Amino acid sequence: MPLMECAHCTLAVPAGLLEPGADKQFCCHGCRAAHTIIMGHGLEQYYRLGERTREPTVTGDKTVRYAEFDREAFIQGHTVLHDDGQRSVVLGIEGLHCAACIWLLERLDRVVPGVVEARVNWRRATLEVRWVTSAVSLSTIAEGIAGLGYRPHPLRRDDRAEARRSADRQRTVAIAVAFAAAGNNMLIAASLYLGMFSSMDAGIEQLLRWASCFVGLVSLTWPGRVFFRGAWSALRSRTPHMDLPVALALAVGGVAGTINTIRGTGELYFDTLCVLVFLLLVGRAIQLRQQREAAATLDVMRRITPQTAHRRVGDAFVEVPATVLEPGDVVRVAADEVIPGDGTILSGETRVDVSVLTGEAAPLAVGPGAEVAAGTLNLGRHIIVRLDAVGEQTQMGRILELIESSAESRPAIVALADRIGARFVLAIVAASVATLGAWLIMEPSHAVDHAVALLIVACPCALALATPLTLSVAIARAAQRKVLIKGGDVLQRLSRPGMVWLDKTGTVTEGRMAVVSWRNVGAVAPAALAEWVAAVEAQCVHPVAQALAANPRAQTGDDYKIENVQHDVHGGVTATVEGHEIAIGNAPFVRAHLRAPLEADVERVAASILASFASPIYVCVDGAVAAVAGVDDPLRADARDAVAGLRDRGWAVGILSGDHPDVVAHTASVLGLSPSMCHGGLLPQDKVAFVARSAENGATSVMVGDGVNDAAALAAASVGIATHRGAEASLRAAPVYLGRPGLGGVVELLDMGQTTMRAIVRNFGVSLAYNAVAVVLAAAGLIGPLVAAVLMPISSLTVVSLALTLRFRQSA
Amino acid sequence: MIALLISVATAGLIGSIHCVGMCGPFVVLAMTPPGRVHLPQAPTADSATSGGSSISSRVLGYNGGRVLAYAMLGVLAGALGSVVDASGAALGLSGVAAAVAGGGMIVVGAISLLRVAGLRIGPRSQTLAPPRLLQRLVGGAVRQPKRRAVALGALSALMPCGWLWAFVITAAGTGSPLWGAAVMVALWAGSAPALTAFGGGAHAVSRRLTANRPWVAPVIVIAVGVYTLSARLPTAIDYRPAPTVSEDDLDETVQAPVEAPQDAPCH
Repeated sequence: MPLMECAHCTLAVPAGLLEPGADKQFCCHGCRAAHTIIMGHGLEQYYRLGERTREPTVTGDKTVRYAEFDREAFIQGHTVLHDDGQRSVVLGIEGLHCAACIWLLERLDRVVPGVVEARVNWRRATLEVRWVTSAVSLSTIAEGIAGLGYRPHPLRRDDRAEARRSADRQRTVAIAVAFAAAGNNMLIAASLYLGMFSSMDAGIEQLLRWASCFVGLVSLTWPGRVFFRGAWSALRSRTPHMDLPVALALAVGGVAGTINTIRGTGELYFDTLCVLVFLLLVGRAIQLRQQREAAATLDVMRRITPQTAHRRVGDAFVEVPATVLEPGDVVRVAADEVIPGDGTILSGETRVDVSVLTGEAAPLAVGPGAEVAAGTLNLGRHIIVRLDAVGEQTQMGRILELIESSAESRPAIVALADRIGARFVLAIVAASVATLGAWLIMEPSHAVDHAVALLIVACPCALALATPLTLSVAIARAAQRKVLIKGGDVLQRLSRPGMVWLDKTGTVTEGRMAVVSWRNVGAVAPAALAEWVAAVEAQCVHPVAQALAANPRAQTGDDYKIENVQHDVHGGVTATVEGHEIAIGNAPFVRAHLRAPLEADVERVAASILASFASPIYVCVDGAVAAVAGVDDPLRADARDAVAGLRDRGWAVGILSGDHPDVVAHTASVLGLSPSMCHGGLLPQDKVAFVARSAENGATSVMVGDGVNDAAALAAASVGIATHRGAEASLRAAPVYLGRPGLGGVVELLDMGQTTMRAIVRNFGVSLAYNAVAVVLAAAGLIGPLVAAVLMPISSLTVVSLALTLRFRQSA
Repeated sequence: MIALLISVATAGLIGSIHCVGMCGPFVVLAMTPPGRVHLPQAPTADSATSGGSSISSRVLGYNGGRVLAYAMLGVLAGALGSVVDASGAALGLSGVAAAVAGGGMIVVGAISLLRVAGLRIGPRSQTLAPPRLLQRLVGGAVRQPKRRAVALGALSALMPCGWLWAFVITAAGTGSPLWGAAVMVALWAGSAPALTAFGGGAHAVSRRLTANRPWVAPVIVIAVGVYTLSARLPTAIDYRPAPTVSEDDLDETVQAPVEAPQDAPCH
């Protein structure tokens, strides 16, 4: 068998090291490493000895590691050019584990000149960077990010998974080494301790001390280096970071222990430090896993779209996780299943509930060739759908992106938590210095112990992490209820009652004409007259016709013989149904058609209809009025209860409408609202004025309206709530979109806001209490560094778990 | 001890063909004049004096860096060996470091031989990636215009090269930092001529010489291992008998009563 050549040194590859199928073989691990290093720095030309090569450009200025970020193809494909010449890109980030990491990364502009802005999306572990293209290159930015201790990579699904896997592996190795160090050091410490009682040979004692020092230093420099790196980054960007107290504790203990080792006498802290490093790494790993699970829980996309789907493979349908679906896949969606992606129906007819996207409660009938959207519910029979878009490319995905990448600044309460966290870290460092000083005076032997214990036990993570986590959980749970919220500010603002302005048409009312009353007049009315009318009007798109066609009194679905349907210019229609002449229309049409005045009782019925602000529609059979229908835009069924609910919760309610003031006044009285707060005949700018005026002096002003027509008023309110119309359009104007028709969602939203704020305050309180008690105990010397090392991860896990248990009560 | 040094130097000479193969590209890189990262044909007068440093300074720099790094490795290894020896001595054993080192070398050499024979042993090297730190360090070294040669020379001591580390084990086996450094310097001495003189062109030479002899290096490692194991090299620290504590001593130290002062308020 011919021997393979090593790709690096060209010597023979031992048969036992051959990798079948690999395109490059190496004779030893060293050659593989050298080859990787050479290729990694773009120095391949050094292999081609003896050949004349062009002088390549100097590669030595940048680390080639991130050179791919500067390639034209990457820039074109992954970055966005803005009008002012700046570019922005979204990069995946590995290594985010706490809120302080977010602070650090968002101060990237201080570390890398030329960066304009950096924003972290913690849930997706991404960083959006905006920079001036002429001032700095993307690879330099990537270097800067890496220098802070976080690894950036292009946002490709498999990249992210791969980076996560390698980071996980490294973490596991670090924990293993920390455990080995801790275990060994505890053994050594036990021996030294026992040796204090029986005589231990001085040489052996020194040997053991040096061994303890060596193992301790290994633990500090290998698994423990993450803490130092975090602290160093924090110092460089002048941001107080969680790792600062820990790094300080490790540094102080390590230095003191080393000095004592060299001196030959004195306390060695290495056993404590090793155990501390181990426990902290384990606690951090558990926290990270919790966060990952929380992120999966918070993945709103996943809550609205299904976890699995049935994809066609060959002739059968195989159940696959929804995440592996690709455009072009063909899936089968059974009845009562949510459609997993945007697509086109290939076969099957059914009805879908599209309320989450459009607010339309009425199911949409669809058949082959029709387009369906992700997140909508298949109500009828199963359909076969070819997917055109999945995940973030779907309509629903884009809407959710709007929610996530809200342009608002960080919610006030999170900013508050951040500030408190920063001051907290500084306070802890100061407290530990004070403790050190005090104990050095009183009883020097344990001073370092107590100072280190204090540094360890204080946990600012809970403070800074619990609040944004609670808000994220709240938003995700709200989305489950089809209340789409953009930005955590909303819930905080809604916790204080103020003024709620309601739009009338479409918000308080159905927004559609409907038959609100039907009176048969005279003796001539056939039994099925309403259905005849419905059948005749079914073809017409006029709102009144639609109302008559949808008449709830006319839904038997029988077929009638209809001929000669003619639409009149005066706003009516005539037809022949089952041999009878039917005419349907308003008063002028009927007068013209009948050529005779209306009878008294007909006029009376019409007058009563007009008094309730509805429109009378006359139905004539064979030349005589047989029935009068009242057509109006009715109030929503839950409107009155909702308004009452709002007022019970302390909100003042008013109506802003462009409709005639009399109609608005009538609606107000029906709803039980004070007429002074209900204004009709308004232009859009008038609505804006009202909304803005009630937002003065810090009061909360809420506007509930149509996402398209009332956009300006919605934007002017403290919280704008958009209902019906398209979700995507609405969310551009307002921070909240109700995917359910009706006002019940508004009441629920207010309750959610209250529940969330209460949870945030509670979590804050718990973590503050823990810290206060723990710090006092540590300063007093009642808990040692080891106990502190165990307490701290427990506390942060507790608070995070508390945040995840947020639940909303189902409102009636 | 001198015998060991001579044999290590010889081994280094024989194995230096592979050293050239693996570190050749780095050597060429080190010899390149600063500021012009391109391929020199051969050290000519032009390239020798351009850029502010001469070819001889680069040669010296590379080899100097390498010998310093090797020596440091030897010191550390020897120190570790002396600790092992001391621990062994405390247990009543002598020459533990040499025994462990020798045994280790034999095992390493045997594994390599078996691999040459076709047996698969150990993890697939696909899964082992070079540490990022090394990548970064090399990158940093390449970017140094003036001290690139020295940096690269020093970094060659950190390469995950089994041949090198086999001799680090030998250095540990000497049980003394001084002799450990000597062993590594001997290795350096053996490999220096090939690396320096042949720099770039030895690629062709190496292929012709050793393409069919992958068993040479493992055999050398085993030989040195056997020698280390059997020769019971003298160690630098004295062998001390373990302290024995007699029954009487114990009684005397423990049972001496401590007089409590009669007027103490409490015990």
